[in-house]
Amino acid sequence: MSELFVEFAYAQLPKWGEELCGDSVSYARGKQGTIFSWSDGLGSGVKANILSTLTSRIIVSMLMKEAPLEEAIETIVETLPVCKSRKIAYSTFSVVQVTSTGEAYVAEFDNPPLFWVRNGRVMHVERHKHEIGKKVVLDFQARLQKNDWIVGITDGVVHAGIGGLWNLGWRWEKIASFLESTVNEHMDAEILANKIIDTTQRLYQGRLGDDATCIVAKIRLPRRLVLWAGPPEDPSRDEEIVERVLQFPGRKVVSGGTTGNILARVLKKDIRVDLTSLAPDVPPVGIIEGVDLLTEGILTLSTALRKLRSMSDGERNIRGHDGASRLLQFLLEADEISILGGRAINPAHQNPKLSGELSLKARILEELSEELRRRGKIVILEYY
Amino acid sequence: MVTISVCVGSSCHLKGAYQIIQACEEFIERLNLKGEVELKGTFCLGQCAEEGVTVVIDEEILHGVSPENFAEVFHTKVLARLKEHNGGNH
Repeated sequence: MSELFVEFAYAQLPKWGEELCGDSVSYARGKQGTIFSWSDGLGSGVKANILSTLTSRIIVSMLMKEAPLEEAIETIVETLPVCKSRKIAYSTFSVVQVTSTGEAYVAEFDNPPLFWVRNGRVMHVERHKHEIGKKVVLDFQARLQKNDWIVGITDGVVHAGIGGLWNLGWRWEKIASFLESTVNEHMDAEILANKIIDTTQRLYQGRLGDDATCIVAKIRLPRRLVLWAGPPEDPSRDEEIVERVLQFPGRKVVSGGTTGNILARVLKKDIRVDLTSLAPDVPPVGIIEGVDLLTEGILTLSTALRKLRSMSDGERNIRGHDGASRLLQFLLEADEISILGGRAINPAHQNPKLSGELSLKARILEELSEELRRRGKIVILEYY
Repeated sequence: MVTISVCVGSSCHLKGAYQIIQACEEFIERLNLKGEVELKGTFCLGQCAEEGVTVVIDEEILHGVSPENFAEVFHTKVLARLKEHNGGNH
């Protein structure tokens, strides 16, 4: 698994009177690391949105496929539709690629320079000029470390309040000071992006003169979680798997009655049942030293999956104290999730009188993994 | 003191462990038995193939407990034991 994690978020607002934002943001994560790009299309509304969407998506997808930047830019130039009134096809872009060890490559074309914040200071960076297909692209490389931030804005943010509250708008230098006084280790990327866009909106007094976008990447250690669900097919591997769970560098969750009992047996500890977590649809959780959460298995997992599916994409706060809500809260707080599924057959699940839910464990784990991946989590599912 | 442990595993949950725990809390409350009856949950007791919910009263394992027959179980097992403990004068 990766050593550093890029927590990525963005916020944006369209120009006043427009429904679509003319700025676009693309983001992808793969073996090349994390790549994100933002682009400001010529004009505003639909036309700008199309230009910027094409630009940011082409760059991210081509770099993900290890194409050189030159090639991505050529593709963009050839692909962008030409604006009828202005006779040009134009869209700015910035792109950042960060590997799992923190090696970063940044290229910028006509966007305001991004901010690299370290220890509460905006770093000064020398950018190199490159001429690529008649476009002057600035780039630099950097070695990012834990608690570094990359903050990117489009010019709608830089100009916030221009001719109104502030003669010259918010301005790059003042945004830099704002970042220096605002950023702290405990802040989420999403909160910072929202703060900048909220401030932009206030400076424009609600009527944005231009599309405004802020992207934030926070570099931090990944939040890891292991979920052990089900006893191994071969009981002689019980201790091996318990050891693996206990040694896991992150949060440890065990799901399943028999699974919990194996843990208790190996650890020689007792499980206490926390009856305050009693709920009609999910059995209560257990408490045992050594793991962060112990729940019942199949009913808890299927309820967690159902809850997750009913949530909107950005939603992250779960109400409820029952096992499924707690499990889901833990899963959503993690970046990298390792699921250890057990293949042992539970004799109780063969009872035809029981609900069909009980025979579906493997499928639920698959579907849960898929749903978590869809939300940007790195999920590794393996069976024992 | 009588300890009653209700299995809260998947299988027992589906067969009514939740309702049994609620009924038990209600009995303890209504009959003012706090301090005399301790209600606990327990993780899977490995009796899933048996009928009904598995309940352990002190050391005795009972199968086939259901929300329907729990009142009877409570009377014949829990209250009877309490009487024994208290020398039959309770």
